[in-house]
Amino acid sequence: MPIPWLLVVLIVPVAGAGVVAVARSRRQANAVAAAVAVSAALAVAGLLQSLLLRGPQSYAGNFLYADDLSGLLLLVVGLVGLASLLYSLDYLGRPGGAHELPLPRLRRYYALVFLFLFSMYLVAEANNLGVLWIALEGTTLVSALLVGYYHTRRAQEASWKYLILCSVGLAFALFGTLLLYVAAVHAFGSGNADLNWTRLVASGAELDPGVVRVALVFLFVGYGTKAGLAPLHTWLPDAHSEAPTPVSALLSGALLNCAMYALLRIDAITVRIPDFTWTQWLFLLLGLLSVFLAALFLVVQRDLKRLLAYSSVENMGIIAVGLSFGGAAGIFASLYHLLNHAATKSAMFLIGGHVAVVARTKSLPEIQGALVAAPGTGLLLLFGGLALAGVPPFSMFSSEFLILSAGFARGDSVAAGLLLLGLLVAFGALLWHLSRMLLGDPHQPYDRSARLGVAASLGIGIVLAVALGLGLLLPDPLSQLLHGAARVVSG
Amino acid sequence: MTPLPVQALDIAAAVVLVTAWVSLLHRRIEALVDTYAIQSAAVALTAGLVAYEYRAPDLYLLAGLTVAVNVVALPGLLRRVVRVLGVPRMVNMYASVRESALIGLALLLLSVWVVGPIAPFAEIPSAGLLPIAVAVVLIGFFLLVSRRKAVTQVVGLLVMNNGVFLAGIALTYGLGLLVELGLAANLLVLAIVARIFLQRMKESFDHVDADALRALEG
Repeated sequence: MPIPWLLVVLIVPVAGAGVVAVARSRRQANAVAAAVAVSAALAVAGLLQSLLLRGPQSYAGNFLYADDLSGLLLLVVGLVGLASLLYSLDYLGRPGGAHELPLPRLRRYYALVFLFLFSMYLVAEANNLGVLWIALEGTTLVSALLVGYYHTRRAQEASWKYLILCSVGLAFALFGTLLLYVAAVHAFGSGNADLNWTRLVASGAELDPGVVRVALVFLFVGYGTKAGLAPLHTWLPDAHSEAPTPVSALLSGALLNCAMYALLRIDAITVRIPDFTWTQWLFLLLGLLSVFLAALFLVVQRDLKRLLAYSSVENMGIIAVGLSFGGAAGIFASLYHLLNHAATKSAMFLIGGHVAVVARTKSLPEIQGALVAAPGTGLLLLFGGLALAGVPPFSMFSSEFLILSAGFARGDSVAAGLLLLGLLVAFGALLWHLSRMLLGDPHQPYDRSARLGVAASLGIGIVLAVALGLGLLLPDPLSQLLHGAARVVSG
Repeated sequence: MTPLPVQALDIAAAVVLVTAWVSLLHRRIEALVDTYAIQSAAVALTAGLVAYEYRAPDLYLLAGLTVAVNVVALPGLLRRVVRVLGVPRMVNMYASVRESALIGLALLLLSVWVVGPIAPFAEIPSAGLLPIAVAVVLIGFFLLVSRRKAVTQVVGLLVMNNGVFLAGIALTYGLGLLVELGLAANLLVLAIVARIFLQRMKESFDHVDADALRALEG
């Protein structure tokens, strides 16, 4: 009997949450966290291998379902989850760590992170669009508690805004899901319709375009809010900058992609309706708006973590624009960018968290001369910053280049030209901030005693290596996965 | 002559709509919570009537869940929050009562205009309720954005959810056991999470006015 990897992936974090809740010492809690980080990554690897060998699979009737697109999201969540848990071990868990938590709060922190991971894995494996919705709302509820984990005024404000805005967005998305179901009932008759994605996608061509249009508006408002697409991105810079550093990495690197994944599933259904281009237009509109708004806020930004958060808005916009170009090439490029951004941004948040500890501030004007004052940290910041700005040979350069060429190849020169303009502004802004942080005279003495720790270095190393490595070569299995995922969407 | 349950269905749906509108008029938080409870009861009744009239036994369960969660548990939790945390009893608004009432009517017209055309599907006799459901969602949204108190914002969110439920009942005759249980559980957890935050806000701000949340800009 083959191992039911779909189930294993979900069980590991839940079991971890149960075990860590009764940990009697910091040592035990950290050991459980390390074990969950590694075994969750192994479970995802197992599932990916069996996906590549045997193709799409389901479990428990058709309740859980995974194809290459699910595989991509699982890979992203697994990777970012691993890095961020390893970082947590040093940052929050180790005695004398930068933000050491007392044992009861540490236990609760780990348990919440595990549940957060569980709900993201469920997003990737849910077949029923209703269950997908529930899992996404689940991520909001758990991560809102994590965003407000430091009980400061700013963190309270950020988490309240996050909870309310995303729940509102998701209420709209649920409404859109219902309307999609109505279209299905209209097409197949009430006895034959259900909310299973596999069913909807198989008969997408018969859905009524009129109803689907209204459904799309609600779905894009809803999941777009959660994915950080402008103009409903306003919660994002607050939540992603006030959360504890490892949680910021999870929010920007993994969670945004879960919402984008929901939109990809919708796209895969509507792309099968003949002559139906609303989805592409919505992606283009929200995408370009996000890129430009974020680029402007990048220029004027004065806070390191908010800078990274706005860069996430920008990159979600880039992915959306790539999806609007469509076709196998455009979707492949977008998914490739999704993976690259997840690795790069989580690396950069983790590095940024350490920079803030060493420099004793996250205010951009006050962080200067990091290369001189703390050469090790400065070098890390240099690498992460160049990767995020999209300098070759880092992977984000490759995928941005592919997205642009997909756009020009399809004759969408105006859209691709506008995207290029936005990218250049953001590129300039990031490099400018980076050079100021690295060069110049340090304003204040740096905290040279702050050590990153072995586990945290390993966490950063893994994601940074992926961010660089994928720009140098795309290994065969990964290329197979990305192309497979693109085919799921493009049909 | 329309059969009796169908007439009753129209009345129940009308109650859902009217309570949404009335919630825009309240100045006292307790009254707002009571109105929400009445609205939830009307949603549950709608579910029961649709279940009976259109032979959708699934919906009896949804009706039961709605009574347990939306009529009993959530209003109870909200009343406790108001009492224990000492939330000032008055609703603080950005829009006056008169403006709110007019905007509520405008939202109703908007939803009739936008979703009216897609409502008449022969397979779904109760699809006529769709514009009402959309109006309730929009009114809930307006309640949320036009009020300053954190508790009122939660009620706005819950009213939105009632609208979505109404749409689910009228259009799909239920979403399947698992999805419905999941939705109810989500609402409960949402309320509990909101309570935790209100508690923390009380500790760090000494009041629970969402308007004070203004430190993060740019």
